[in-house]
Amino acid sequence: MARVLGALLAVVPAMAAAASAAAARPVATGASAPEAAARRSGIARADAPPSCSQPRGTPGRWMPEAQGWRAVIVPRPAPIPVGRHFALEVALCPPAGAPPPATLKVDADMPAHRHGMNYRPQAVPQGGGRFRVDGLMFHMPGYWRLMLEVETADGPRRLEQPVEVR
Amino acid sequence: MSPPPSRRVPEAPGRCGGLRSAGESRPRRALVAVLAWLSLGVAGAGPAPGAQAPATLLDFTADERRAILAHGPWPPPAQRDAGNSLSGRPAAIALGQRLFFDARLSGDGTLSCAGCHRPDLAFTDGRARAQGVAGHPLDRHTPSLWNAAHERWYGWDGASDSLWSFAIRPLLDPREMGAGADHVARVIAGDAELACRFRQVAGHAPGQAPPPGRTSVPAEALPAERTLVVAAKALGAFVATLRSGRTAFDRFRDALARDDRRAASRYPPAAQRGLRLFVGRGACSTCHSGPMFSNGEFADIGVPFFVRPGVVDPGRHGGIQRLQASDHHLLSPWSDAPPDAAEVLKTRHVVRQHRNFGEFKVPSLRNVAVTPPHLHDGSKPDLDAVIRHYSELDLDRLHADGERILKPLRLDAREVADLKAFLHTLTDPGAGRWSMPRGPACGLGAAAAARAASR
Repeated sequence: MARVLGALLAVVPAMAAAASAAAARPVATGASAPEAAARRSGIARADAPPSCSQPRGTPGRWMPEAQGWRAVIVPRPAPIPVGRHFALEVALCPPAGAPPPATLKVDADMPAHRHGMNYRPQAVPQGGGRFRVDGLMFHMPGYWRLMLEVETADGPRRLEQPVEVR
Repeated sequence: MSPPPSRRVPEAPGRCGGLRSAGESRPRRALVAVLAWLSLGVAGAGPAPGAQAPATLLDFTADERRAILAHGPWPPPAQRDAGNSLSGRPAAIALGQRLFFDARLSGDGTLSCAGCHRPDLAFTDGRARAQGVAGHPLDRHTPSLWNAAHERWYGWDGASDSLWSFAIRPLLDPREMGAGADHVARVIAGDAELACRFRQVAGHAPGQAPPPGRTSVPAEALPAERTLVVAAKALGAFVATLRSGRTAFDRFRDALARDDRRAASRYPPAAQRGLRLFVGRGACSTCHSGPMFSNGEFADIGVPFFVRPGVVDPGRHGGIQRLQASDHHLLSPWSDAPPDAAEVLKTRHVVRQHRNFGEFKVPSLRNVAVTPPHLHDGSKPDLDAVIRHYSELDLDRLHADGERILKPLRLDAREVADLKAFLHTLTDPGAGRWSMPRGPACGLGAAAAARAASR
């Protein structure tokens, strides 16, 4: 036990030094203040907006992919409460060379229950492939399937994200 | 089964995960340990003949505990009526309370709101289906008004999105109260007490146009309609104050939350088993979720659509249609909510779907044991009948393209009794004992008001 504690105590200063060095590194220009802060600390803050620059596994966001498209999704609030309206912030990331989409359709269903939502959400473009989606509600606990549909020059592209709500 | 008698047992210090206060003495700790051991029913020897059985606590799993805790805490923070700037204002609540009990508001002067929402019956009427003016039979059961401000939609079909708009519907419906805006304005203007209170609330006399700049309601609206909406908002302000008290379940839930096994084990074993069924195999909490024991939405539970020969109740499908056709919803000029307010999201985004046909509101189960008959059509006289309905569900009566959630539970007699025991613990003992607060007459001076309040 003492050996384990000793090892841990030795690691902590090393972690602190690494974080300090990361904080000193320059950040990409054009990043928002929260994004810049997140990059400096080496993590994405849960309340930071979604961005295509955020790598897979970034905490607090979903990143479904399909046919070269990727979405970075942050629910507001998180975790999603049962039976209360929530919103999504979405960054749509097109394949290289494709223009950012102008529109986005969002829906969700519970495949096991064979029903969808009782409300029709609305996605409002924020510019640069980012959207704010309002009017969603998961009115039951369980497994929901979040569906995003993007109209592209090659036809619609659909991205799905499983969501477990408790 | 009745809730257990309220007994105050000193709580053991150091209950939270074994933490204890610094000054706790060794003999006291030993006594506490023995008491806790006994309360867990692990003493080996059974109870002495004639003695009360030792309290027990089921070994709820982590998932069960999480599901149980999601039904609280209670009470939640007070909620105001949506789109109603009068909600929370004492003068409006006082006016609304008087209007609620005033039968003169109905067209023939015989039926008040309280005529159907009786305080002594937990704000229901005890009938299977409601009766309007002159005993006119209606198609649905009168819902309780307890905790109404915590609901999302009003009416079994959710045709109203606020308490104030919900109050307008029965006033104007010729089968219910059979009044009109002119009638309501005349009654209020013709009663000195009501007229005085109305002036305090609205800033102008009933039946008259408000001074310029005092209101944002449509300029073309007739003064009588303005009076009707102010009266309805006062009614909404009053109903929003009706919040039922804590129950045996709430005490159990909170004891579980703080890991107080001693307090939790006072909850009757049958209710614990019923609760386990409710959140587990019965999957009741899928729809009856949260502190209200309702998700606030709508479901088809296989009750026949016909309300009488040749007449079908479309339920939520018709409710959304009526909501969107209403002049008084939260997106209308009569609403006090800004267009971007969170409370109007439901009205802006709700969508009518084919599966809504035959869906009715998932009712709150708080006080369900004291508000029979049950279901939207009052077709189940008691809790036994409701539980049997779910136990022997006729799947052929469900929409072919509807939800696939319900299945017959096939409960045995003990499970039925356990579920019923649990549902009884959702009763606030004061749910049928609401009494009208007394207040001074309108326009009394401060000293007279204080004297009246102290009587």
